[in-house]
Amino acid sequence: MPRVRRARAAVAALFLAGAIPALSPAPAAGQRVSARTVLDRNPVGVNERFAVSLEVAGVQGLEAQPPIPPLDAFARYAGTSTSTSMQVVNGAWDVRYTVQYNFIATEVGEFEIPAMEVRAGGETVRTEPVTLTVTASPPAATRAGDAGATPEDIFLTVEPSKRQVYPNEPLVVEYRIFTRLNVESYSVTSPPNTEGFWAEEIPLPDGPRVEQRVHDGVVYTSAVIRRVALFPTGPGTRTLDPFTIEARVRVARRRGSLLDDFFGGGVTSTQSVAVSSDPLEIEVVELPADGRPASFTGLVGTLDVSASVDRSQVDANEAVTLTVRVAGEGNLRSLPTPELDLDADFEVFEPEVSESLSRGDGRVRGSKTYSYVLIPRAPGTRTLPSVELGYFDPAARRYATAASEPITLEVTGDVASLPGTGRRSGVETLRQDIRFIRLGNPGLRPAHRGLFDAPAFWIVAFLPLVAAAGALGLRTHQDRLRGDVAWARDRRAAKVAHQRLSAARSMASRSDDRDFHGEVSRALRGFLADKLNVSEAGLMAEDAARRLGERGVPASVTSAYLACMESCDRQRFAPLSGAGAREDLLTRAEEVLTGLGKALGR
Amino acid sequence: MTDRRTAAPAVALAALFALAAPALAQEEIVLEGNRLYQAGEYARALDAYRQVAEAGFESATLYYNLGNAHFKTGDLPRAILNYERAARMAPGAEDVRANLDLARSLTVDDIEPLQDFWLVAAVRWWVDLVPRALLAWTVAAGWLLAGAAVLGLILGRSPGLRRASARGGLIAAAVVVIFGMNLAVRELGRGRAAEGVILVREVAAQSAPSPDPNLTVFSIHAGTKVRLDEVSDGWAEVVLEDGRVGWVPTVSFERI
Repeated sequence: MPRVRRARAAVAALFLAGAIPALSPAPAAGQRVSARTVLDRNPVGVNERFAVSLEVAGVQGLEAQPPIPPLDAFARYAGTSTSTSMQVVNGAWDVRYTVQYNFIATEVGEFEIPAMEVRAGGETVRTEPVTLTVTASPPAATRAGDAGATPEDIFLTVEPSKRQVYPNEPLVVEYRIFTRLNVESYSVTSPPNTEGFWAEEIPLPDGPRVEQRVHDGVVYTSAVIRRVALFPTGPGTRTLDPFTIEARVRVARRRGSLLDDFFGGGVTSTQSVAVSSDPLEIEVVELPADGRPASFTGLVGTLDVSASVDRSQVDANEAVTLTVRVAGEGNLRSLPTPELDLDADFEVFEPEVSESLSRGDGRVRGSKTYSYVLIPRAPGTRTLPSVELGYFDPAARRYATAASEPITLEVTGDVASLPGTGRRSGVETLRQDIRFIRLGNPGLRPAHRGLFDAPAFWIVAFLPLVAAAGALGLRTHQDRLRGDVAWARDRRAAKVAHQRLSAARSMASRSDDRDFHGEVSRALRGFLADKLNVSEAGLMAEDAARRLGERGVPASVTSAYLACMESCDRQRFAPLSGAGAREDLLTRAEEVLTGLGKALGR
Repeated sequence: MTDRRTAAPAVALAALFALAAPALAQEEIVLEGNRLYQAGEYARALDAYRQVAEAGFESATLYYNLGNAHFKTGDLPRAILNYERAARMAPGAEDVRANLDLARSLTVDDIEPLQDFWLVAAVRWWVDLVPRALLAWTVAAGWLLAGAAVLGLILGRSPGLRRASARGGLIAAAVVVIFGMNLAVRELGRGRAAEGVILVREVAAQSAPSPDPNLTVFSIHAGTKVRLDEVSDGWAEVVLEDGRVGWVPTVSFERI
């Protein structure tokens, strides 16, 4: 049964082998390739996110990624994602490949998303153009003016600590809300992108602190809602996008009844209002090229460096900790680790770094501590050179260098006790890859050919069985020959008789007549004695005739036997005959043997 | 009798050579594929390996190289499929295991496999322990030795020979029984579940062999290995390594 199943599977597999590559994309077969453009929302408000999806039905992938739709006129590109879906719809496969382009609307108006062309499944398909409406404010939220909330009632200002900075010079930007309305809550709808800056949000410790402020002669409730430290990454004029929040304000209903007014404020409702700050331009001035020290760290601000060791005397091969403390103002976080200019027989380990930074009052300052573990390998009085860090002072508009004092270290101990100075390290894995193919003899064999299909298997399987059967037969034969004399003699009779006749025939050519006839006579008598299991010597002619008669041997055979024997006896004692007579006797003797064998055979 | 004894191995040898001749030509193609792979022409190497596989030949090395070529051409699920096939033919191959693990780590579905019952794990370890060729030769040698021992028992006259035959025959018979069961399991695939690898990017697994979207229980992704419990009528009941069961269309996977 398993063989039958295997064989059937093998046939099926061979039949399918060619079809496998064609089979795998089969789900898509039968489904026409088509494409369309889908918008996740329409209309959208300005500064709102929307997605343009290119949906291609009937394929699991595209031959080439289509270009990003050119919507620069009214939207900013914000990323792409792709997905595939496979579903069964009404019993048929529905495969879709979707490329989703995310945008943020920037301009108000009606815009057309142009047709897209894509190559998939061996053909080119086009989508229809789609019209998108961008409204001035999110459709869900009401515009500031509509509910009685005018831009004078609620607005955002942006206040930078300075408008002209050097690269990497800290700059704190505050976003402040002014309102005459009752703001219940607000949420940030679009944090402005800070391209060109390294930005660090400065947390507002107790949330926005509300205060009264006068703006253009009007008293407003005001609070800083966002404070961010910016570090410009390169020179040039940079624009910070508007910061937009969605505020939920409580406004009085226009058509409140007299009673409502009478009983304090009347009916109110909350409405969403989108409020944006103005964009902010920052000019980043390039650092002067001349006077830049070799140890310049890129820091713009002020720096102070100090260094100390935990002990001034140390044994060779023992660890000593060198602490370098850097304090100052500026982007300390991006400060590179100071390079120690030590002798080669100092072993230096990667420093442990701790930092404490404070950001407040428009300044970013703090300190950074590097703890180096050093192991001096040779004794003597050693000097740890000063640590130098170059920086740019924006107030003085020039470069400066901060340096620590050199430190003297007494290293005691024996030179001879030095261990090997070569540093050991583990084998580093640079990238992960699959292991290489095997190049040697692939040792191919026909697929789907099991062990049982190999002729060698069946030969090996049956060889011992056949051999055992043969051996069993042989053994039985041998045992009978040994145990059953009559049977053994019977089995041997013909063989012995023929051997004797052969001997006689070889004598026939020679002259010794007596031996020839004696041999023929012995062959015949011996045969009969073996067959009848009696003594050869006692088998006289009369006795033989009687016994043959008892065994039902035909009289003709018996008389032929007796005639043969008689002529042998006669010739033995009166040798007269020639070669012809001998041949004749042999022929007769063989006939007698055949006749007797047939008559006595079992 | 003597004639048959000498004739049988001769026939076997002739049969082996008849099989080996086309295999030698295919071997050349594999070696050419190896050269292409080494030169970084993975797509052409892939074609060479595939040509041999489609001509109806297989070996653990061929499947391993084929898996590598698929991996390098970015077809992760087929790479996994071929590594699995190589692992089936050569369960102890360390390179296959390493690449399979790496390829699996890149697939979408991260499935926590169920812990096997220790006895099942032990049996599986034992079945996969000896390489197939060595196993076959061991069983064949044991069988022939057992046969020789039986001959000695039947024909032997001296008690010493008979005793030695009996002892040797018992040992040989034990070898045949133990390794023979192992070989039978390997050859017949009994006790070893059919498995497949998902080749489509994503397929919904249904609670019944029906495309009704209300019956979707989970979805699996390309490269995930599944056990096939039942296959009928274009649908297969698959079991994930964490034991979850669902029906998927048979076109979504390929058998290992």
